[in-house]
Amino acid sequence: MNRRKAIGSLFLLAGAGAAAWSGIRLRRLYSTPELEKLKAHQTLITELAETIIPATDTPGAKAAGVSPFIIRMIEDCTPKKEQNRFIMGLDEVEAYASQHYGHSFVRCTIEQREVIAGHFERRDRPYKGIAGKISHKVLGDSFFMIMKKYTVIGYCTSMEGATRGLAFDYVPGHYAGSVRLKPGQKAWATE
Amino acid sequence: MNLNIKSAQQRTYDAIVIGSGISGGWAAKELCEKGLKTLVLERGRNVEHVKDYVTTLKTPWEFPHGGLNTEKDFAEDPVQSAEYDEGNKHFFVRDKEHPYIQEKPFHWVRGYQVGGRSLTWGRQSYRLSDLDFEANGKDGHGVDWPIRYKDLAPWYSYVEQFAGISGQPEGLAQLPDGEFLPPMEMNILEKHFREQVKQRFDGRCVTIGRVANLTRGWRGRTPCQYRNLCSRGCPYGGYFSSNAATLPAAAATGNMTLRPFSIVSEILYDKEKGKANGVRVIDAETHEVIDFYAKIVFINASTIGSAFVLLHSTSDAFPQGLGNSNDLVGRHLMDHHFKVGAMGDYHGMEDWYYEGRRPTGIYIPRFRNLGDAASRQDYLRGFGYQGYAEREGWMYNGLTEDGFGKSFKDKLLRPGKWAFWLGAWGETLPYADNRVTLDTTQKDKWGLPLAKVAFSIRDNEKTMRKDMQHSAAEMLEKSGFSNVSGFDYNYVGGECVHEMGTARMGRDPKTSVLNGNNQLHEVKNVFITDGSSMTSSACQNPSLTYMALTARACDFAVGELKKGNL
Repeated sequence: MNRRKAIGSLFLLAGAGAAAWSGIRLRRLYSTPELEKLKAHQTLITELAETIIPATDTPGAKAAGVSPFIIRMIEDCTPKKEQNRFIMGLDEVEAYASQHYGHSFVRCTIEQREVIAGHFERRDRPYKGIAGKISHKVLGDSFFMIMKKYTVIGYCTSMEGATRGLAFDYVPGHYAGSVRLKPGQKAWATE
Repeated sequence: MNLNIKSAQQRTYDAIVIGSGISGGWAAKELCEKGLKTLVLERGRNVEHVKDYVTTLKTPWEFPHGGLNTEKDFAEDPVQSAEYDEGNKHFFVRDKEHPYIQEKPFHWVRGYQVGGRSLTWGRQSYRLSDLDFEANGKDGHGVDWPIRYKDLAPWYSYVEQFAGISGQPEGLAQLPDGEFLPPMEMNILEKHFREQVKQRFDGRCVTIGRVANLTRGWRGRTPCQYRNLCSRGCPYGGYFSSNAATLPAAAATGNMTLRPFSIVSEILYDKEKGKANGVRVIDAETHEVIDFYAKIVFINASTIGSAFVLLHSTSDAFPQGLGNSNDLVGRHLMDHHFKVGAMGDYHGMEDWYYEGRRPTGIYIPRFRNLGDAASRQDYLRGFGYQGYAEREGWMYNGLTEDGFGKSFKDKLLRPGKWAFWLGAWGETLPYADNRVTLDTTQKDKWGLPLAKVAFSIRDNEKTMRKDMQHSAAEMLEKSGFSNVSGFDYNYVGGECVHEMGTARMGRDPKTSVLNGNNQLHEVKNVFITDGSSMTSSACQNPSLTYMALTARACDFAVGELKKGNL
């Protein structure tokens, strides 16, 4: 058990999100996930990821090529319930965009995308404390939390993200325990 | 007929070593260097130093899942997947191929390959002291160790000088100093914590982890490059493993024959002579059964594996298993109980960072029950802490910061707040019913019975855990940390991967399996020097002690062989 493992359990307690879960919506969590929808939604995933980590003076999620990673993580590293939550979430984003702006998310302006992402980010914030733990146990991570988690991991372990967004030192060769921060210092890409 | 005799001669060695992990590698080196033609049997595949470290130079973006395990991994390897990741999975067994029975939940973490778990070990290297060697005798739990610190001290020095252990001498009786390479450096917050603890807690010491990573070139091996990717195998030989250090030394003598894919099913016993005369091997790939012969046998198959070999070596003379007339083989299984401690944040030092990825943290040697004012009425023995300070990185920042977009990205990519993590590793008492047995009905694909493990911690450990958590939180709070929170995750036996005690050393053949030279009481030419020989668990990470016991037992065995006593 090291700190990384401890942070791992923190991931697990990220919480379920406060949206109402009942009836048919809840039952869909237990159905066989329609994973083929992921590829169909790849552009949406790409643009959502870019909304979470946009290009600034350093590359964003799109330039880092994060969407194939997110799809792979949903397919390979995500429990069934969360796979369903994720796919339902993508559909809900599209429905929301269409309802409010009359077209799909990828055709929305940056500002509109931020409004939509803001809606889902607030909706899917985990409950605090014990309610969050219980809800997480029943429902798994929420859509936006899953999206954000894989966007972060995908970006920070990508070549663009690790070497340009963060500070990457492939073979440090030495250890120095007290070093002054440099102006604009990035966090280390690897621990 | 002649052919058979010739064949048997070709299968005859001076010594056989079962297992090539951290202690088997040492047995191989010592016996070969003392001139014995030695057969080293390894049940898994070969792993050649450097060449077979297939992930060691990979960058994060070369892993399809960012280093994380898949749902399939968790489903198919429910035990091993808790330990491995995408970078070192190939150094752990597949649970499905190597089943065992958990009578009570127990994680049996294994690496069936040349080098065993010495490839993936945590490399923390601490000496035991007389506090540990005298503990059983004093409080009556278990039997008295047949040796004392003075018996093992020269052998600790001997193995440290070969392995290369970096550390800081502290002059503590309960954690004797070793032959250290220069210590690794603490970071600025760890140094602060060391000073705070020294001022505020009498007799407590925060030292840098004593670790089998080289801080300078050592015996042909390159110093640690501070990548902190040890468990993938080190292309520089920067940390001690059988593959990097002992097996090459054994091979250099010309006396070693290494045979991978060799599952030892039993020790062959010659009733007339009252000695073992060899071992029976099942070839893991062909399932062929082959006998090998030798004058002495070292069993270094790991704590559960070695107990298995003894229990499965039944004969007229030993119907309960070799050297097991007293029914003690497999009993007194121990592990260190852990996953308990505290963490906290530190405000300040925001201008400071560190460079390089140090493959160790800090260590707080045992400070409880030393026979002084810090002794406790509510539990026996004690614990040590491992820990470290760091600035939170993207993984933490990304999951704890609300929001998204530019401001989120900025926080994600900057060094986060300073935090400290302290985890305790505690001594487990030897209990007779924490034990390994063989199942009578279920068999693996080689027709061998499954090992069955029953293990639990008891009141002494549970009471200790409260102090383990409380004292960690107290030290952080009094050292100026905020947002301090204790933790006690659900510890499952074996998770520490410090199994010990199934063939304990002792003076009396009625109450122990091995004598003070790691010799089976009942079969003098069989030696066991892995974790199974441990009479008590102490609280220190145990591998260095296995190394010292092995070198000492090899010296004794070869001496006895020369005297004609074996």
